[in-house]
Amino acid sequence: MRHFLSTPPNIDFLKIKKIGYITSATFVILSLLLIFIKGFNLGLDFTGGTSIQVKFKQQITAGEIRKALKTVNITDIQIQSVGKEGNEYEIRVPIKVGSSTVVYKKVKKAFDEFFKNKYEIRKVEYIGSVVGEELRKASIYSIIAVMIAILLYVGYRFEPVFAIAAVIPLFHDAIITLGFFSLFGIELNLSVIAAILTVLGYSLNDTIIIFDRMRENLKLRGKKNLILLANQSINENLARTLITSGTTLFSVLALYLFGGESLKGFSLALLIGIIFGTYSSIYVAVPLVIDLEKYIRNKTLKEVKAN
Amino acid sequence: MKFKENIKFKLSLIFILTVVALYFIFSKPVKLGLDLQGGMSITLQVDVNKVIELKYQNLAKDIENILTKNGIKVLEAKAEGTKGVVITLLDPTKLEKALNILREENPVIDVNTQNGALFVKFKEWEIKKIKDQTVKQAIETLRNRIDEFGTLNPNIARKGEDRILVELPGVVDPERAKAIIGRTAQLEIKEVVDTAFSKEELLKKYPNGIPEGTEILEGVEQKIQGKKIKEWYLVKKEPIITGDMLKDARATIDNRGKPAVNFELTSEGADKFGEATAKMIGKRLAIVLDNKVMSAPVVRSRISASGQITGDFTSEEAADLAIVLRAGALPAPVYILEESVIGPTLGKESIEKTVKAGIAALILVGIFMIWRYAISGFISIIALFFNGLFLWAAMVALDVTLTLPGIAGIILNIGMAVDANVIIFERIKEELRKGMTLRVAIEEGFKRAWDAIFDAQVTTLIAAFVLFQFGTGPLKGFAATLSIGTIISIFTALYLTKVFIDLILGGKKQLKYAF
Repeated sequence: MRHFLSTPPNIDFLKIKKIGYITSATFVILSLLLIFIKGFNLGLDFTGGTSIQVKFKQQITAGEIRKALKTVNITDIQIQSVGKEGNEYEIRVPIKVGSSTVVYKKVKKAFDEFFKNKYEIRKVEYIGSVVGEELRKASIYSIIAVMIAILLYVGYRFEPVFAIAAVIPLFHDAIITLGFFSLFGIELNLSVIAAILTVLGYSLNDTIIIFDRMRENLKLRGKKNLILLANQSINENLARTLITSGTTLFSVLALYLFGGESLKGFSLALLIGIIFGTYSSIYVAVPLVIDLEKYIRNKTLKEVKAN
Repeated sequence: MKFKENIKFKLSLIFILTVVALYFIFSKPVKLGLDLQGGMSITLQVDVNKVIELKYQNLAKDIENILTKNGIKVLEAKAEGTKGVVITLLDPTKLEKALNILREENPVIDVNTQNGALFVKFKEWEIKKIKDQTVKQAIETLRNRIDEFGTLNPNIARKGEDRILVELPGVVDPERAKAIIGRTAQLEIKEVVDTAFSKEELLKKYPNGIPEGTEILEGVEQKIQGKKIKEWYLVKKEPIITGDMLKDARATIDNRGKPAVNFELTSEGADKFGEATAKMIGKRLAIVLDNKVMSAPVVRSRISASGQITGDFTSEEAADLAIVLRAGALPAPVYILEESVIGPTLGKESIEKTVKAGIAALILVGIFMIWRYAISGFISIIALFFNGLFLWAAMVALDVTLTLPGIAGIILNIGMAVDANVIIFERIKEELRKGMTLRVAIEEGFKRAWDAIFDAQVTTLIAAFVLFQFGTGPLKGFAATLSIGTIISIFTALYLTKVFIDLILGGKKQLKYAF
């Protein structure tokens, strides 16, 4: 393994270009369908409401908590177990029940009666509905802002064709990550959006490293055989593409496994994003450069002929 | 030996940087976010529109006075919420004259005609100024209250146009803190005209509507001989004195042995109060707090400098009321928009867990790098330690608050910082395969990888900057560590690694296990 990919392989990546496109399109369409039909399990950040995290001294079931809270007329709640010991829960109360003060007092009253002193309130969070709405908007705007900034930067550093080919896979990565969250009903909150933004910046790394090599090879050999050039660039870079993604995945994996409950969604989004980001830089970004370049060339050829 | 001289210079630069970094690290601890140390953070919305409404009500009165003084009779001057003031004149032909007078007399208003009436509005910059002052004043009041409440290292900061962020580390009783922060604490003393035991009863007494200049206020529920009683009051709108004439307020015990609050008035307030109470002997005074009548004692003799607020208080409530009265009223009501309270044990656990994750990441990445790149891999791990050291120092120096996502950013940085090294080392391996000597391969590798690394890091920075712009508290921490880490990693991965590699491998033409 020390010599894994020590000599560049000779894989014809672009031969299966169509399969790559179809696979990606399928994933994107499925994700979009999921997002539109099933939607997201929106976190407190976006819906507003109160979330209370409680740790009990003994094991308690979610049913018991529900029963206790029913006595104070809190019914429409979500209860989620935190950690592995079965004695810690996050209870989410919708915003219509009232402000955090109201909710806190009611919950405390119910718990004092049912569980006596055998519990500890570890975290109370409240997001007003105005803020939730604002955060929802800010999230969408910032994802768009990152895309535009990256488009401009890559366009400036490379040719416009590269910029377009670099940004389309980003939509691909973001949509698939979101689709994944929709499919498994994993909570979508602000830190997941942060992770997606990070992935956008990061998954571009791989693309840029390959593009950089293409830029270098272009200077050496010109635009004569683009497919050969692209294949060569991917192959020459395969080791570093896989290893850079790999070391980052190690860190993210450590975060996912040991980082605790509140970073689970965040690190999961990073995991999915980095994996798809690596895939898309090889199977989406590079083929797109080739096809866009071909399309432009054919068009100019036709124009020349027409004249 | 130019090569050696060069290395010496670079090493001393790294040495100096390390000393500076260590100096910062030991000068003070890094600031921990509330999610790590426990405590509460609240975002308050200041209802600035209430202030604008009030200002328009006063403006309506002022305008009426000005016009009357100038011989123009006013039929009606009415404030319309936050929109402005509509003035209808008795004689519409004088509209133009009134317009000119007002424009001259008051430079902060815009006067226009509208459907045969005058429409007066504050100028845009005046509205902005009023809002700005309101928020600043609210921050000042909150600061006074929180200082008296006795929290260590509170942070009160303006957030956007009309919001205030209050952070209280280590608060044990969040509900009490919220009660102190959120209370407007507008104290007024008003003359009681009439009372009843329900609103309907009170309204029945005035079949033609309540007299002009009065309003109905609700009293607080009080237990008298085991019975719960609540009175309703018809009071004069214009207060005799208001909370800004308060000099001091202290919790005390009233003559029934119950907690109460004593207040003292400023000399101006005392004069006014004395004058009014002298004429009111035998009548009742309403002590009104935030539009609720706390108590309504009968005036037995002229009162001037001090008074007492009684009610159904616990001693804690009385103490808190004294705090908010002393610190002054909020210029406008505030609402809680966002709130988070984190217990100290949870914060500690979060730190433990993420430190574990960090160590795991470091070990995984370390083993991999040494295995794949041997001596150079080891050097890149040393560089990673320096990266961590500089990152920590930069956070202390720039006063960045460490949050839970912030730690996640640092861990992510462990994986991303070696990326640049991987790109360089793979390039060197490639050059070595072409048969170049170690020296040449190293030089080529570092030189050629620069473009790719720079572009890759810039895009990560772009994402981090956007995140910093839109993110709230903890997420800002993530964006901060991510961007500082990215910038530092360019230095450690390209410069520091190069120096160490030159130092260890530089002189040699070929070396087994160099890469």
